[in-house]
Amino acid sequence: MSDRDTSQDQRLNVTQLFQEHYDALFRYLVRLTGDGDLAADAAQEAFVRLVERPPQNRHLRAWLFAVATNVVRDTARARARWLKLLSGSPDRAPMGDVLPAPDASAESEERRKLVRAALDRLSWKERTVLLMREEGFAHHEIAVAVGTTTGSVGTMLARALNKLSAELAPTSESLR
Amino acid sequence: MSSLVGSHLSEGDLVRYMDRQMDREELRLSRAHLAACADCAAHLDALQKRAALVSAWLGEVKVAIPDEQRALAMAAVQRARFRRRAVPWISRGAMQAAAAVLLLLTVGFATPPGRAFVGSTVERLSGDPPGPLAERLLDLLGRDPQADAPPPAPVTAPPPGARRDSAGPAAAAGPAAAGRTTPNPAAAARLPEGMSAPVEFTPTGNYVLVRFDHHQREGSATLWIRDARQASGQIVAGKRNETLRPTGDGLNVANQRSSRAQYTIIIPTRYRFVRVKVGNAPETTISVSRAKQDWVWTVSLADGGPD
Repeated sequence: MSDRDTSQDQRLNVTQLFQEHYDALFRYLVRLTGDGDLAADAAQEAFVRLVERPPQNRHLRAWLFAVATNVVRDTARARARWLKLLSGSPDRAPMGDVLPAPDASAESEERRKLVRAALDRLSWKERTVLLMREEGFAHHEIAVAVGTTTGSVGTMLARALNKLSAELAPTSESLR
Repeated sequence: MSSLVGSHLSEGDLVRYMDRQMDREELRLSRAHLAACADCAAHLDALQKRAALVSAWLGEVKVAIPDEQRALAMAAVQRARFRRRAVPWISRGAMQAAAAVLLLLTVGFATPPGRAFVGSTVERLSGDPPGPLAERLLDLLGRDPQADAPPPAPVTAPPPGARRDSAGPAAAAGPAAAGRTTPNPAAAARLPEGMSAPVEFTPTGNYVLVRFDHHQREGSATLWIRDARQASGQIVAGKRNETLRPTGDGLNVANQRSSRAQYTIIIPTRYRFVRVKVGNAPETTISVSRAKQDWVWTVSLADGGPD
């Protein structure tokens, strides 16, 4: 295979990776941070780093999510948003508010706020492992992203599920 | 594995079981335990319901992704890809090696101390006389407007009645000690009396420092610098009405008989030879190493000894 072919393949791969994973990454980051601008910046930065310093491993999707998670964390710290993210306020901009769907109803808006508030009560690691699980990542990939052992991911996930469901269950009964 | 045998499954184990994150053996043991343990089975069931509830809530919350954001991100990726293609890939090790070589060349050839070190090393290693390659390298190190100048006039015989100055061991070694050859007693013997040999190499500054000390006879001592367009003098110590006057062909030093001044004349470097005329004594020539361009020469303008 010539250099030109290799270059074209790499170009196609990057484009393909972007098309396949950008939306999921952006959605994950919005849920993680509740900040659409921050999510867009982090997602973009992850793909730029993929081009500039491509990883050696083949788990590019997990790598993208891990990089974007780190970017969000570092950026949030730098912007002094970190405490705000951790403390979480039910009244703050809820997930999806920055980018409301055109057909968003009042009911879905209320649910979004409730989920956002419940997520904000989780710790950063609990929120990360929970949202990465929702995106279908294996435990060892989640462990790399949050900097922990594979074995402890299950425990963290159980804690996060219990917390979040405890927050949402009463609301769920009232809304259904 | 031990936690899966004989005791209840932990919540972490249940999540790993639920998410199919166990290896085959763990899975077999967990299945066996769940089949026999109603508590763990109920716990697993509750956990699965909670996970489904959370997934449902998260799934219901739609996150709209504006096309503008996606387009901006894609444009940034394209720019990054363009930058990456524009810069040829060079390994970090190769870049570090190139930087080290560049640094060595810069220090070795573009700075006076570096040239002095490289030149002296070449001189030491090349023997006397240097070989053709060493000559070329020394030419490169000392390339200057005088590079093609004809050799200087031979050193003249010492005037009668003159004496050697005692400026130290290096002073007795003759000009060759500061030049590109090893100390040569014969050359030192040809020095005019009243003039010492170069005594010190100073790698700092872009100047040749010529130091006159001892007692100076009345009249003038003229430094002739081949092809010099500029020359200046500066008395740095012991001034006693000495005057330093740049001339068309060098620097004229007018001194007082009674002077004991020790002063330094600063002349531009990059000259191979410095001609020095002491009073009425014949002119002599001091060769400057092609490699070493910063020197201190002590020239004693003695007039029959100390007062």
